[in-house]
Parts: sequence; structure tokens; C-alpha cells
Amino acid sequence: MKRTARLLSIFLTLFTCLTFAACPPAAKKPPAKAQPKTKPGEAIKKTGEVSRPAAPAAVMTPQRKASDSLVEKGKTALSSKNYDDAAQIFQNAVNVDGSNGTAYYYLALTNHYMGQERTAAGLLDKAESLLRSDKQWMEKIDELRSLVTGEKPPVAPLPPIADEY
Amino acid sequence: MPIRSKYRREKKEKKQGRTFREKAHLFWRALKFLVVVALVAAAALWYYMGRLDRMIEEKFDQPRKWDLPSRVYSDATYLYPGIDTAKMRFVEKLDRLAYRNTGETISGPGDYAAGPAHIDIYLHDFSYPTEEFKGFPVRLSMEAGVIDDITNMDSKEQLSVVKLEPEEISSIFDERMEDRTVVTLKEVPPILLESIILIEDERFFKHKGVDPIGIMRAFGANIRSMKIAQGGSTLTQQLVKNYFLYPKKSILRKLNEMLIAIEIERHHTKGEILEAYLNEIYLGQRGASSVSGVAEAAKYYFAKNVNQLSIGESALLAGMIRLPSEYNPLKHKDNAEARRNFVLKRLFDAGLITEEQYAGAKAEPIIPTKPVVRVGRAPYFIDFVKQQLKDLYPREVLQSEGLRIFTTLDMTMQLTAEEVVVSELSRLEKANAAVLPKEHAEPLQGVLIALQPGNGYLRALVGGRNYAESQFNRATQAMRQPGSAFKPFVYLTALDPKDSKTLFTAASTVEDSTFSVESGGKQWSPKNYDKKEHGTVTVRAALEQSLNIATSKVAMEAGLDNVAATAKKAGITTAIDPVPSLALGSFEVVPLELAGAYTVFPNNGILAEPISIMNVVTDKGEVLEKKSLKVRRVVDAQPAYLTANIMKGVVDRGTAAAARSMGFEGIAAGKTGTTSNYKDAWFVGFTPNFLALTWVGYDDNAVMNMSGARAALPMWVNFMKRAAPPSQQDFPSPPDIVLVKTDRTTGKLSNKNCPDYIEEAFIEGTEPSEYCDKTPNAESY
Repeated sequence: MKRTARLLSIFLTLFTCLTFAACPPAAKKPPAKAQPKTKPGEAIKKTGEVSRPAAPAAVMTPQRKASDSLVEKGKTALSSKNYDDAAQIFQNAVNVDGSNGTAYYYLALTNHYMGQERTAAGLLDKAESLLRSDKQWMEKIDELRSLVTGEKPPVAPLPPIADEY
Repeated sequence: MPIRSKYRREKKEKKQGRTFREKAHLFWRALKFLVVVALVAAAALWYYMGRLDRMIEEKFDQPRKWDLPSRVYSDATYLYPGIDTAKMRFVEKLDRLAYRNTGETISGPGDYAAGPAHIDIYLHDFSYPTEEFKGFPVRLSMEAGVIDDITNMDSKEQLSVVKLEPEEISSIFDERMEDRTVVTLKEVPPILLESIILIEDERFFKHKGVDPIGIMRAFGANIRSMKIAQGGSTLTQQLVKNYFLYPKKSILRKLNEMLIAIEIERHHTKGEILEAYLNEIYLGQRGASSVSGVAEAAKYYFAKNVNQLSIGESALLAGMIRLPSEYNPLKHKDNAEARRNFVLKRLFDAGLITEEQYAGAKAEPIIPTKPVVRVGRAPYFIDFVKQQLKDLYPREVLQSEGLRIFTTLDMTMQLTAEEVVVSELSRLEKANAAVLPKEHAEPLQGVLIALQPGNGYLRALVGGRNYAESQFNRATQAMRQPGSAFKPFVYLTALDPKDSKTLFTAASTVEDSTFSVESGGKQWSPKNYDKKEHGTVTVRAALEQSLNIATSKVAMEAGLDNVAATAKKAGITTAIDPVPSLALGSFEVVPLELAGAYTVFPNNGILAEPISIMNVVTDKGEVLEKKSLKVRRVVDAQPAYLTANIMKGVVDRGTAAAARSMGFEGIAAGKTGTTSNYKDAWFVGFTPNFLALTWVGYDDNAVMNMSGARAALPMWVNFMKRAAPPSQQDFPSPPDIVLVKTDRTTGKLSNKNCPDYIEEAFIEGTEPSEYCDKTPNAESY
């Protein structure tokens, strides 16, 4: 009995040692901290000369012209409710000119009609980054975004297709 | 009968061996035997004909008579003013699309003619998944090889864009390897039908499958010429031979051919037989696959739909049936011309064409397409597509249903990518022989992936240097450590006010000095590639110069869990443990996933998942599968923009600055990647509208002693210079981004005493407030 108790105590001691040895020690803090830095959301007081990056300019390059002509074709398909055709044409417009914000906008609109809301939202964000300097386009983007995110109920029948700005 | 005479007769018959009675008996026995044999033969024939009938029914009486290969297409190519035709290897493209150089003028679909400052093309008709395109003639006016105007030559209308049809890049065959386009009798021009009937089986409408008169005539002609000059097989027999039987000649096959021909004629109209014949007939060889049927032959030899064939071309196709290889216009133009003229003469003599038509067709030059064998085009990409198709359709369906698979591939870009991978790997092996392992069993391998970040279109994919030697697709199947190519995701997290435990800016400073941390029960201490410590550095410098120590610290301060979560959000699916070495890309990724993840940078936080298949369409034009884009925001726009903005510095002055000395121009950003022990070399770079990833390494993870900048960057530069025009437009900035002049070394506001500044981008409100402290009296700059 004594022998069993001794063996048990040895086993328990070993078990405890092994268990603690396997536990990772508290991670050491790196010696130097990055400076300056802020807590998330904490603003730093502005003092320097501040400017803003130039918004993408709508330059009418031949590439843009080609892409725009595809956008026009896509709009025709869209107004005929040929969503598959329209999506394909707007994708081609994006391929021809990846900086054509209107192509992304209409591709987003088509995806919205097709029920692909997540993709529509992503494309709308892309359109926004390219059309940011155009107030009218931004209003249209905001309007479509509220439909895509469900803030506004879906409009039936289809909303009119936007004119070019 | 007197006894004497009876005796004499019996004696005579005995002398002859048998008696009359015996003879009669024998005769009746023979007759009975013959009747039995005839009855058995008739029964056997009846049974055999029944079997043939069932075979015909099973094979021939089906709506789909042939297994049609599925075809994989590239994306269409858009042409518009500003495109450099030399750079896009335009004439090669036209050859691959089987356009024919007709000299000075174009007259029909598939023709092109190049002038000193223009190129005229008569576009092919093409059936797109969502559109039936009708070809028309266009003129591309050019200035020094660059398109400056496009005109519809019919309507004289100026066009801003025109598209060239997709290229057929691969076919998925069954074991028969027959390339065939099925047509109906109505689609075949009468002159082709008349030519074939006249030359192959003049009495087609008069016989019942087998033509004894034809056989006798052929026999007589062969005797006269002392050689086999004519065959007596009818069109029906030829159809039977090709469709039901085997090509090896034997008496048994000939008998079967006749029996089946008779049986088919009993149950089918001449029109049905003729239509089957036109689709079945063998008309040559394209590499390993056969050209079967007149429609496929019209496409292959003349780049035309069968209904667009001229009289001369129809006559030649009809004439080729006898010996397709000998009269092949791509290889034996003179033989082909002589044979065509022979058929034309027969047509004229038979009154099927007028004298004027005869003269015109005879004078017609034979302009075949350039023989393009579709072997091994974009093999790794095709394997990747097939892999995805396997999940959608069984192999038998792909081999027999004639599906048309439309992909996102840009064939010209793909060919450039393949050439660049091969040439760059060879160059690397020669130029770096001293550092590469000696007598390594396997060659150096490479990957090149090109994407359109806006929509995720996969434009080119090379998964190795030689598909014939190794089909392992390193672009989509290999698991490799990204090394420093992962660092942008560390900074993406650290610059994100929502995701980082401690917010960093590009101007934040970090100590690039050795430290040690316990990880997995061991001490882990990162080292820089140059084995040096760089003291206090800005975040920008840490990423531009790919400093391991500083980056590890940033990752730990931002939160290792947060960094791993960012990578996951960006589409990296492999398990990433939140350990300190994660910052240096110590886990494994699939190259295609890494390329996809990088789309968040040019897209300001929007992930565009790589897409390679757009549509799957049946041979009747029904769309079976339409792949949707997968484009979604995964991180905020501002941190993604800021990270991309720092990565521009990697190309302009950082670890990839050699790109500029190699002649790479335009706005671009990217990151080199080198794993520990130099086993993997990466470069992932992008312009606002284009992204490419290159990787170099050994399959067995051998050390190659070359960094990403040395091994992978030249491949990227070489490809980009040939495939993508230099971008003049900068990355679009999201709202709430401000630019502030900061000192390059301290990251503080620049002033006149700290003139070495950079116009740094910040999320509004996070820009630094302190002036550069290199001077005692800080002033506004």
C-alpha cells in the first residue's frame, strides 16, 4: 500500500512537472516599441501642410472611348433586361479600360438586378474610387448603394438607366 | 428390255462406277443437302442481318450520331485606336485565328490584306454565348504600327472598338480524336453536294447501297489502266466503312460493308445518308486529331463556314476525299490545284457549272490558312480549366457533347508569358551558374500568373517551364512559402485603424534592432537579409527595404491574430498560425491564391477572386454555366491604399528598384519575396489595372541562393514590358486621405532644415504632429 502511494506521488509529481513544462510562457514584449503610434481611432492633431491626392481625371483616351462605347452597348442590353448580355459587355468594358468608373457602376447595377448584391457592393466601391471627383456620379452611387445594402427597398420596375455625366 | 442389253448397260454402269439408281439417289441427297445448307445460310443471314440492323439502330438511328469534342476558347480580343499591333503580335494572332492573307484585297470572311498603313480584315462570323456575331470587313488604319482609326468598310462608319473572336485553344476528345463540326444538309452549298456526288458516286440516287454497274465500271477501268484507278464503293459504303467498320481491308469487311449499306438504304432516305456522309467523311489530319466532315474541313483549310465556300473551294474539298493527304492544300498546293481543276472540268462537262463559272473557279488562287496545330497551347491553364470542369461535368459528357467553354485567357499574353518563363529561367541558369546547386537533378522552375484586378480575370497562367516534362501545375497546385511577399498583409493590418491593435502610419517609426521572442517553446529572433540592424526606421522604409526585424515587430504590435485574419480575408485559405514568423511568410500558399490576395491593393481593399471560366455553352448555344464575378470588399479602402502607396516605393527605390534600371516605366507597385535559405523567389507587382506574379524555385525545395529581386523580378519586368502598356494614371485614392510632407528618416513633419522629404499619405487625422527634430528650432516648411 505504501509502495503504491509512493508510486502514485511520483507519477503525480512527474505529471504536474510535464504539464507546466508544456505550457507556453508569457510572451516577452519586444524590446523597442514603434513610435509614433496611436490607439485605434485616436486622431493626432494636425499641424503640417496638408494636401489631398488628385482625384482620377476622366481623360478621354481612345481606350476610354472604346470602353465607353461598350458601356453604351451594355446599357442597351440592360434596358432590354438582358442581364447576362449586359454583364458580359460591362465586363469587357472593364477589360478594355480598368479605370472606367462608369463601367464598374453599370456592372454593379447589373449584378444588383441579378441578385448578386455582394459583388454589386464590391463593384460599386470600385466605381466610387474612380468617380469620386464627380458629384453627380457619387449621388448615383450612393443611391444604388442604399439599394444594394438594403437600406432602401428594391425599386420595381427597374430604375431608369442613368445618363452619362 | 432384253437381258443382254440390260446386262450390257449394267456392265457399262458398273464399269463407270455407279448405277443409275445410285446416281439418282446421290442427286437427291445432294439436293437435299444444298437445300438444308441454303436454309441454314438463309437463317444465318437473316439472323446476321438482324444483328446488323440492331447495330445500325443503336449507332446510326440516334439524334446524336457522333461524339463531339468539347472546345475551350480564349477571351475575345478588343481592338481600338492606340493599340500597338507589333506589341500584340497582330499578324500571328490572325494566323492563329485562321485568317488568310489574300494579298491586296479581301472578299469574304476570313480574309485579310495588309497595306503600307492599314490592314483590312473580313471578320469571321462567331457564335458567342450571348450573341451571334456576323462578320464584316473592317479597315484598321495605322501609324507606325499603332491603330489610329477603325472603319467598317461596308457602312463606312468609324468604330471606336471592334472585337476579334476568341481563339480555340484546346479540345477535349474521346479516344477517337475526331475533330468535327456537325452541319445539316441545308447548310451545305449545292455545288459542294454536286461535286461530291459527281466525283465519288455518280449513281448515288440510282442504287440501293451497292452499285453493281459502278463495280463493273471500276473493274473495267482498273483492267484498262492496269492499276487500281477507281473504286466501286458507293457513298453509302464509304459511310459504312468510316462510321461502322475499321479501315483495314479484308473480304469480310467488304462483305459487311455491302450488307450494312443495303440495310441502311432500306431504312433511311438518301438525304439522311448524304448528310451523315458529309459529317463523317475523313478529310485530313491536324496534329493528333482528324479533320472529319466537310464543315470542319472548310474551317481548317479555308477558315470559312461551309456555306461560305466558293465553287473552287467546294471542288477541291470534294476532290480531296479520295486522298486527303495528297491533295492537302496546306502541304501540296500543286496537287490540290490539279485535283480541283479535274473536279471543275467534270462539273463543267456534266453541265453543273457554266463556262464562266468554270473559268472563274479555275483561275481562283488557292489560299489556304496557315497550318496551325493546336498542340500544347496554354497547357497549364487548360489543365486548371479541366480540373474545374471535372467538378461540373463527367468526363464522358466533356468528350461527347460538344460543349463550348469560354475562358478569360488572353492568348497573346499567354504566349508571351510562356516565352518569358522559358527564356528567363534559361538566362538565370546561365548567369547564376556559380550560385545555383551543382548538377541538380531537376531544372529550375517558374510560375507566371497575370490577372485583371478589377474583375479577377485570369489573363495568363504558366505553371512550369516545360509541360511535356512536368505536368505539375505550380501555379495552382504548389504550396510554397511566400517569404517577404507576405509582408504587405502585415502592413495592411497595421495601417488599419479597425484591425490593428496599435495603429501605425507610413511615417511611424520602428526599431530595426535584434530582439528575441519565445515561439513554440523556442527562442525566435528574426534577422535581416543583409544581416545588419538599421536602427530607427519608418514603416515605409521597413516595407520598401523589406526589413525582417522591423516587420516582425510591426506584426506583433498589430496583433498576429489580426494579421492572420487579414490574410484570410484576402482569400488565403491555407492555415496560418499566429506565430511571430508569420510576418516573414513562414507558412505555405498556393501562388494563384497569393496573386488573388494581392488584388486588394490596386482595388483599394476589394478582393477580386481569380476567375478563369466565364461560360459553358452546349453545341446548340444553350448556356449551361455562367460564372459570376466574385468581387467584394474585404478591408477598408484607406489602409489598402496606404499599403499600395508604400509598395510603389518598393519599385521606385526599394528592393525592386532594379525594375526601373531594367527599363520598366509607369506607375507600379509590388513586393519582392525571398524565403529563408533562398528556396523561393517571388515578385508580385501591379499597376492600377494589371497584376502579375512571378515565382522561381526548385520543386524539391533545394536552395538556389537567389533572391526575389534577382530571380523573379527580371521575369516580371520582361513580361510586363511586353504585355502591359506603362500606366500613366496613378492608383485612385479613397476619401479621407491627405498628403503631408514628412522627413524620410524620422517620419516627422518636414521643414527647411529637413529638406529630404516624401509626400506621405495618411488617413486624415493620423498625420504626424511633430516637426522633424534634426534642427533645434522647428519651423513650418
